[in-house]
Amino acid sequence: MVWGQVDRDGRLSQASIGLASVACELASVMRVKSTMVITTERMLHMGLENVPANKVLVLRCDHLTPMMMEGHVQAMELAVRDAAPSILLISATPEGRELAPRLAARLEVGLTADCTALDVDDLGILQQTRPAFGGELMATIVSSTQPQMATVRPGAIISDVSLPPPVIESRDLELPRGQVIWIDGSKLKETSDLAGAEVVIAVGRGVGNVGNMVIFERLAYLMGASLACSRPLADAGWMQRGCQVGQSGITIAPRAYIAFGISGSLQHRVGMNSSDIVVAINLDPEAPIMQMADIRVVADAVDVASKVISMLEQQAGLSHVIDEDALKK
Amino acid sequence: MTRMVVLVKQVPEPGTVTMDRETGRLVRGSAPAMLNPYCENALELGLQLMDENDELIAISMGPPATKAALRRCLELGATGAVLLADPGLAGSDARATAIALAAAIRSCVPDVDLVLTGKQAMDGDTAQVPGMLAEVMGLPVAYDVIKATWVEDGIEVMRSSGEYMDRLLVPAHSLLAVGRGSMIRRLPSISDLLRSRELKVSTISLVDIGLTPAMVGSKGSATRVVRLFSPEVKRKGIIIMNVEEGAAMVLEAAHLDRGEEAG
Repeated sequence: MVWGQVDRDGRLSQASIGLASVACELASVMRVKSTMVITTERMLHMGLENVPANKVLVLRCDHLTPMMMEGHVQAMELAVRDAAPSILLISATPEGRELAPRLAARLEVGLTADCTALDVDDLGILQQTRPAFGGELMATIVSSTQPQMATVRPGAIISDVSLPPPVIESRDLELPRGQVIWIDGSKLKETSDLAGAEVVIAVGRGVGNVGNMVIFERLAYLMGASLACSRPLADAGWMQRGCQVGQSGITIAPRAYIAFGISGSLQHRVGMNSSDIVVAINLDPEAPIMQMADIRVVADAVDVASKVISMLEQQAGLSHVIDEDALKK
Repeated sequence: MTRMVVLVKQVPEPGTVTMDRETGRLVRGSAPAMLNPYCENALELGLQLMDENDELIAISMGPPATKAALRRCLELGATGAVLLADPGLAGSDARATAIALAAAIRSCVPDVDLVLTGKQAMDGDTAQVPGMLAEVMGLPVAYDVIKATWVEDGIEVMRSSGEYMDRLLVPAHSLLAVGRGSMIRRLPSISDLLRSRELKVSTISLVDIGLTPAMVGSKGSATRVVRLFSPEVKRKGIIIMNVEEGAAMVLEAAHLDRGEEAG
């Protein structure tokens, strides 16, 4: 069973959909069905037929707002007691990180936080792996209670399953109003598109000064990549906190992660070590990020970025000419 | 008069801990320790909410050396400090910890109004204890609190979580899990230091709070570490020493997907 989180914009969260895929894979190994339980204040406008699950259960109640977790704890408790799943997974979003421990306490079960890998053994025991000591070691944890419950870092596990459309069931719930009241709120920053980016250009202290940021912005634009940063740059305010990759930022697994002038602390590596290809550009060949990179470019970050830009501009100029030729014909 | 409890944890300074690979437990040993920063924020919030006759009791669970963290709470302005120390608590997971802390609060400060915690500890980063504790105690909870002020019908709280900053109204009898904020670190004043000299950190054990070792510690925990390993890194490790070739490789890596599609 997976919790289907509805975001404040009324849409099912991408993290939940990703997690549902992971649950499907586990379910097929265990030869059981997977269910997503969506707890929401109003009906979703999106089609649920694309949710990767055997069943989608929509629990609706006016008190199930995305802002407050009280009602969601109660609704999920009902759903779990009803279906008695062997595994319950929740995305480690800020909301999920509040919901999960409260739900675990009510169900009197153990909970593993922030998993980055999940597996089931022959006995159906969930192997829950999470970083320990800021990523220095990985710890695999098992629960002796049912459901085996874990929160999962959004984006840490990638799974791609295709299933027939799920059976959809809706139910209205009568829940009491929560004791904590939401008065108002505001969005802090624009949502970053990093989570789904194919190519990520990440910058760190090695880019020199804030004036050089424009070079990397141009580079990212020309490459069609998303721009990310390491913690010192977010701390310095050169980039927004939402662009920070690592333990105190976000976890991503793009097809290519290109790190310019990032030394690669443990905390940073936790956020990107599942990337398909890692390219690191650093003057220091001994920098920790170089040890884990597929391609280790020992050079100045700005020099390499500028060179890539000029190569791309040349290419663009060339294709421009070709296009014009094509038009003439 | 308002009675507040702030729960604090002593954590090893970053980079000083090791783990026993056999048992999967933290080896705290003689590693230098500090008050968990989020707990210090919680203490600070408690001090800001405190009026003249109010009580603010700091409670911690940990080995006897944790007294140092509690001593610091007293110096900073807490009116009392209690250490729950018992060998039977070793190996407690988050839920066992929440059960033990709830029992400690029940026996030491039975008429508590407000419970304050850090939202997570720097050593484990699980952020599970506050929510579990609130449920065990039957309290409403607000996470990621960065500011709180008394209002007529409770506490008005600012919450900063993820992409949003929210204003919440929380009942006076509740639990606040305090996150990071712009709180300025307090330094003990001379009068605080003198006052704190009169105060003692009292120590209690499982017997005092009506629990048995079977209910907490590793026996009372539903989760356990079965394996520890170093993260696997399988990377090609091609080394390039010049700018032109480096730039070409950047493009190749980025455009790999197109290459595959074309093939």
